[in-house]
Amino acid sequence: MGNFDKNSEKKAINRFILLICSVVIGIGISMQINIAEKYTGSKTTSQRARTLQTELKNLKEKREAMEKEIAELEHEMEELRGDGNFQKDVERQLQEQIDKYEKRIGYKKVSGKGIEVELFENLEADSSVLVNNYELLLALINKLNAAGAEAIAVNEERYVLTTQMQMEGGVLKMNGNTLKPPIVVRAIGDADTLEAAMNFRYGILWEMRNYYGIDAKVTKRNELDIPRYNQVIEYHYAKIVEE
Amino acid sequence: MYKKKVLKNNVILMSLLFLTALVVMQTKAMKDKYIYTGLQSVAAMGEDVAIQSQELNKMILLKEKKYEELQDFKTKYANGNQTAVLKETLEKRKMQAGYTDLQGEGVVIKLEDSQRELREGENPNDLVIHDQDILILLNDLKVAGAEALSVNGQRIVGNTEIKCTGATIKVNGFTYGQPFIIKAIGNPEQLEAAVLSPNSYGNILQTLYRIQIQVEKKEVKIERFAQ
Repeated sequence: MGNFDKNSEKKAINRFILLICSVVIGIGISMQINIAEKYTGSKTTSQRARTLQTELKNLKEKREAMEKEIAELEHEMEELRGDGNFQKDVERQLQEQIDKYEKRIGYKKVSGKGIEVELFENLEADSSVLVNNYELLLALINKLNAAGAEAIAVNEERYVLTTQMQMEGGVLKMNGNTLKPPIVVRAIGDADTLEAAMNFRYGILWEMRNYYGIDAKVTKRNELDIPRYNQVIEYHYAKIVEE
Repeated sequence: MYKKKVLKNNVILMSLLFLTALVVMQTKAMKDKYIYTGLQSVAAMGEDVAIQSQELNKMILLKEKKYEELQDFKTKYANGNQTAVLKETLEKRKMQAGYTDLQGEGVVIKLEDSQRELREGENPNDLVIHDQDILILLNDLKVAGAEALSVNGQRIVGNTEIKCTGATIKVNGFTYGQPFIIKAIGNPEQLEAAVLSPNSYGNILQTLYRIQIQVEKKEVKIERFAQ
């Protein structure tokens, strides 16, 4: 009798343990689902991914359309300026001057000989060393300018006189637009001089390689396109000094 | 004996259940509608969408400005005053390229090398101002909304280079010694904060290396780029 009692007692204990285990597992599973829901906005991951994908596609299409519209507006403007009855000498000269300054500002897409500097780093790491030390990019651009670069771009961002770099929420912004690795710097100018400035012993690329683990590859190019600066430079504090 | 059997049965049952669940998940994953995407890649996509929409907004703004410019041009053109319109545009472009003298509210920043003695393990280079320091300060000022900048009277434009040549620096091809003077036009409070606030690069130069930085808020005049 006593033996049987002991057996059933053990059984009861076992059942109880099983019950507790089930409860714990159940709570675990429901927590997992809840967390996943929070992240994805109560949709399954794949559904969310699909909506995001379509959204991305829409945005890209819209952007392309917008680019086209801007190009059309610019074209119309140029046509107006270059209108037939508009070609008096004074006006043509003025137009040439305007073109010259627009080129200097960076308002025109330019192409020519130059170099391309590709920067490589271990992108498996959580954050990019280059992005977190963007002063290296500033230094590199400065060196290119010292070597007589006529136009410089980092990825698709033109470097102009108002260009700024800053970190915003863990993202590097140049001209207010996001700059994502891999980073390629392109410069138009005398390719040999530019290349020499880059490969200078103990120069900027050496510093990047030795102190930051960033590798670089410099390539001379015969034909290089540099995009235009697509923002408006405005003045709120500065006024022209009247002579 | 009986107990062991029950336990065995339980284990078999559980593993079967688990296997079925796995098989179901896998088959679901093969369907086109349920492509496997990790939470991380979804987050990355979300980021991409945010970036793209931001950039789209900027482009819309640019388009509107271009449109206004064109309309403005058209009205003036229709009034038959082409030369005046062109002259106006030229003036604007010259200003944007840095080819006009500008004046306005702003700051004058004076930088001088540290006067303190070297500490153990320090390099004399740590206590002097370098081209890199000035580059970073200029960038910080631009972030703070500087509209025009000059270093020792040399206007900073897109092609400006700043070179360290020993005790002096070379800006736009001209050499200058100490002190280095940066002038900036823009909101004086924000410009001052850009070089003095606790998180700024200027603050590191000051507190760590005792580089002397003086900021004066006043009306400044910045000369044109002269090349």
